[in-house]
Amino acid sequence: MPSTLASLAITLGLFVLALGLISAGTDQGVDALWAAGLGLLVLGGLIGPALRLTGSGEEDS
Amino acid sequence: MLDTANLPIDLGHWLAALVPIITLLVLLAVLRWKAPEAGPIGMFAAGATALIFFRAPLETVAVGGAKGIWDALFILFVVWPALLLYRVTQRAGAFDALRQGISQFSRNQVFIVLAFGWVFASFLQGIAGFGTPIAVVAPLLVALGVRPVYAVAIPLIGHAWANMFGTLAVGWLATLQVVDLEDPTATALQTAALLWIPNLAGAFTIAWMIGRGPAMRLAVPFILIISLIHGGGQLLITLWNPVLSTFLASTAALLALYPLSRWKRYAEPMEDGGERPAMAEDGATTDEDEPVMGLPLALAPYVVLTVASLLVLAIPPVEDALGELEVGLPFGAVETGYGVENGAEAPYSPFSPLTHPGAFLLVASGVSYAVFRSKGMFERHAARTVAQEGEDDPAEESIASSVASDAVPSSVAVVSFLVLAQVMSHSGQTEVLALGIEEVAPAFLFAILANVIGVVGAFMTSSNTASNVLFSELQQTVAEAEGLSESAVIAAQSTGGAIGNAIAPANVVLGTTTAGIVGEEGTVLRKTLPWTLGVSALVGLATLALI
Repeated sequence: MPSTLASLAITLGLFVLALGLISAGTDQGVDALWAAGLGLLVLGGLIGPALRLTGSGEEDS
Repeated sequence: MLDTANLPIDLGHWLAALVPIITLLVLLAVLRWKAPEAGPIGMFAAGATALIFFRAPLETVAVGGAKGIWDALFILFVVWPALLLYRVTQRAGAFDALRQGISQFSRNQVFIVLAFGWVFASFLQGIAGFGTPIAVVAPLLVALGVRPVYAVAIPLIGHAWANMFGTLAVGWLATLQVVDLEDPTATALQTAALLWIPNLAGAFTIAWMIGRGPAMRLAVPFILIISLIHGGGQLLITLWNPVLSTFLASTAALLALYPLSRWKRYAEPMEDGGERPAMAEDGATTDEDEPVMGLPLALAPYVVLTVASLLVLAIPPVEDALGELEVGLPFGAVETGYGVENGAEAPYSPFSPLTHPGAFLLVASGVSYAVFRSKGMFERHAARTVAQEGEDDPAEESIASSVASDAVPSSVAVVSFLVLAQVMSHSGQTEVLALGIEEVAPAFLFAILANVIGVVGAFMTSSNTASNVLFSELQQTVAEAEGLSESAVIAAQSTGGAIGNAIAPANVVLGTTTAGIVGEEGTVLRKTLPWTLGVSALVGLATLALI
């Protein structure tokens, strides 16, 4: 189980990837790209609350 | 430009649009979730509301989300360098030196806390906004003996008034871009007049936090003199050049600190006794030894920051040349089932990294690191810490690791907040909130509430500029429809956008991170939210006098 800091770093990475995919997808009209980006955005957003709800958020970052 | 003609302006949709904001506030302030945990929930609430109630297709939500991430990167380019500057100065022992050096000028807590939390924070906002005052001043106040929660709340409140015309008036210039004002001079003047309210109210609130009634009474001459320079100076200079108004006024106030520190009233400590909520019980960290560096060297990072900012921002040819480099990403056009359209942008909101405050913070960090390293400050401070605290190796973590530990959680929070804001904007939720107020409020009530719309915008985006970009056109339209003074309503919007920065989650997170109290965002908000609401009420009443 990654540490809290590592988990949040993964979140950031997913957000940045999402940014690129959504930009490319909507600009180029490729639905699969922006949809994948939206999926990464949602996945990244789940990590923080999951840490809270599983009690892992009490660890030092 | 948004076409809001088909938006459902009814109580149900208005309440639905409120859900993301209420969700975030409840999680932070009531349930005390940490910002990186609460932010994503707010983000999901905005997305769900957009999909369910506002007929936003997934692509619209995706574009709103991505633009929010991009907007956040703009702010994170301040966050990470500000944390780097903080860690470099802390590891070199500069904070201890600052505290001991400043105590030679004044041992009066009221003077010192107001000098840093209000005057210096305002000066920093004058030259480098986007949360820089909070990130820089919060740890300074902790080193000066202020309890961490107050060390964050005080600069949040102290710097708010300076947001609109600060950073060389980026908020004002952005407003001029989005609305064609009938009388820009009158609007700027009325804005400066309204901003005097949070300036004065902020200072007295800070004094109250320091030591209740006795501190306020002690601070009265200081506050009136500095406020005259701040508010009066900004008002007068606005007539000539709004761009320089806050910068010049806040610089003059900073210089006025020296003669004020020579006044016996502010050189001597406060009388003992009395409630001092903002001050740590044991005062500043006691250190009988000489600091590892003198006061001038300890102040050097902030001098470098100021000089770097001025060299670029105050010299147009330099700013123009460095501003040639712009970065941005393209986005396609999207719309909702209610006809809210967001056109294609290529690129969306490009920014110039070389003229961004983050660049100046990086320069200040780099120069400071080089100077401190060449003089052996890191080793000397580490050895001092080992000798004092008996730890074998107090600095196991490198500066870079410390910065990452601080910045990553804050970054997740900032991104989440901005995604929430953009999803709400792209789906029309933000407009429904503002238009709903306009629908039900008679003209005089709208005049009172106009600044509240600005506050909401700044809360959502952590930016006076963004709040004005979002709402100025709407405010202008409503002013015309209601027969209100356009200048007064835009001035109210701008002032609301300024004071909303005191409760902006991204600013709060920035402060709790550099003050070392990540997770206490709700506690900080409980200090700044009442202030924001109270000042908003005062600004609303003052707006009535202007319409």
